[in-house]
Amino acid sequence: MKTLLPTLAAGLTLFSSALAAPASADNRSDMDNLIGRFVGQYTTGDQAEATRGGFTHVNFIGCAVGSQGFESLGVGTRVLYEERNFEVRPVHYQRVLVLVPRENATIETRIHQVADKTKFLGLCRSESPGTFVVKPDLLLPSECSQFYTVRYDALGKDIWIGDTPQEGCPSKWFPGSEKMTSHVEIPADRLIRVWGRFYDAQGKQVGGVEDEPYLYLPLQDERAARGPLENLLKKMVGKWKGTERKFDANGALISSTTNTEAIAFDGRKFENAGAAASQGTIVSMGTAGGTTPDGRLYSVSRDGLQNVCRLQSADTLACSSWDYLGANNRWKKSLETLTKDANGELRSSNFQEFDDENLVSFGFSEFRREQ
Amino acid sequence: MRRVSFALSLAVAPFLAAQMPAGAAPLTNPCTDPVTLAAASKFDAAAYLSRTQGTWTGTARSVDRSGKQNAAPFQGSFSYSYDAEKNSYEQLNIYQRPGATEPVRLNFSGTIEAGILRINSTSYGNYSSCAWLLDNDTMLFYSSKTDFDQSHVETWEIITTISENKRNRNAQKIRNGSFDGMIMITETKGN
Repeated sequence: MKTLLPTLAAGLTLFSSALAAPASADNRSDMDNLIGRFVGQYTTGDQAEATRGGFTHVNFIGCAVGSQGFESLGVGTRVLYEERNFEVRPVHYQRVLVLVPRENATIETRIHQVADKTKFLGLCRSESPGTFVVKPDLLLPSECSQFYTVRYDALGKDIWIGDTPQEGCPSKWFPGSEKMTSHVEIPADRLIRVWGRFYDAQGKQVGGVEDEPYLYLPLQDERAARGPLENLLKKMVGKWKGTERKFDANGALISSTTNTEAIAFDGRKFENAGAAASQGTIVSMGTAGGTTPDGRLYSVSRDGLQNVCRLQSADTLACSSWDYLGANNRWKKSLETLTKDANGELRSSNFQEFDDENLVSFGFSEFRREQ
Repeated sequence: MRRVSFALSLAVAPFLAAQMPAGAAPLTNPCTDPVTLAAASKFDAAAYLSRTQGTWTGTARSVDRSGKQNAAPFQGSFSYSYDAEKNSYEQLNIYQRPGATEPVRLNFSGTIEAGILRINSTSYGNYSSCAWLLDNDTMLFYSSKTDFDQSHVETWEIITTISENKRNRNAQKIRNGSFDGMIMITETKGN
């Protein structure tokens, strides 16, 4: 079953017996610690790829913003803004989190929708989101609270655990749902695990995860980490003309099509406006503090394939693709090289297309840069 | 891990360096590229080879850049084993070409270094190849070689393991920087 739109999801008991009691209260430092784990960019892209779309590909970005008018909630209250987008649909999930210190080293996270989405959209990518001041009148009433406490694993590393109230929170986010529950674990390495479940009015689960959580991996911000991939994509910018041919498992030619492609790339957004049209963005992957160049190009093709492409050498890209929304389990592996012969630059690829375990086609393409 | 049809034409290749035409350039050799090292280090090549070792057989088909078959299909078997303790990889390819009385037998050996399987063969002059994982079930393979006519031939191959006894392979061939056709093979694994 395809798990559906993740939320700060629901959950239960994932604690091992090794987890000890909460830390003693120092809400100021605890608050900073928790905020530090929300701030940044995360993606479930790897999980979506590994499960061929079984988990939705979600990108998350969070940032601390300024606040005014929340003093009555408690000393030390802080405000965060988060935005999620889904690679396969034009939806932006925008929420403001008001973090309020509570007793017993607990931090209540009050979740608000924003009154005017356009005022917030893209805020975390702005030059200085901290100067944006959130006031209560910019928010709709809180729809839910999640309560975070810190625990320690067997190695003494802290894990922030967040849960909605046992009865859940009202939510119509998922079609047919009336409420949702969410359980979140945020360890020190910031590999965030989220169990989110949606229920109808009768208490029957209608969406969200089963057992396995959504896994949000932190993205690196360092532009340099994307460098090698950026370099190759920049070289691909321009107009190309060529042919794609497909063959069945017995080597018989199935199709042969000539296309023109126009590739654009601005350092982050990538677009191929040709017959094999696709759009996407590149990101840098890695655990916090990692420095290994590990750029990815995430894109969605016009034919519904969701692609994750990684650099395999300075001039070769390998892509894993799958059909997230289609009825069939269509997937594809491809390799593309950028090379140069006596007549100019060429992009050539070889690929394999499947439906479940059945080979649909072998194929190749050859595109030459148009002068 | 891969030779298929190129292997036949390269079997007694001379030891001369390739001569690229003016303006042409070879691809970056992934076997020595730090970018490849970063990509390869994420997956466990040793576990993959241990899991998939054995004899794979299938029919190799080769087409040129216009999509036309440019050589008779032929049967090939690819046997390999990996000893994790010794970090030792051994491979034997056997090709039976139509009309040939004797099959061609080719031996390769290799080791895994930082996720990259580096493969050598004593039969092939300046042949160089390496392989690594794109994911847990997909191996990428690169080889380069100087051909009889001194052209520089490179191959990039995808090996997709579908199940315990079924996999698909196809490779693009690049000669002096130009795309020069594709080889494809669907394989099954025997006991």
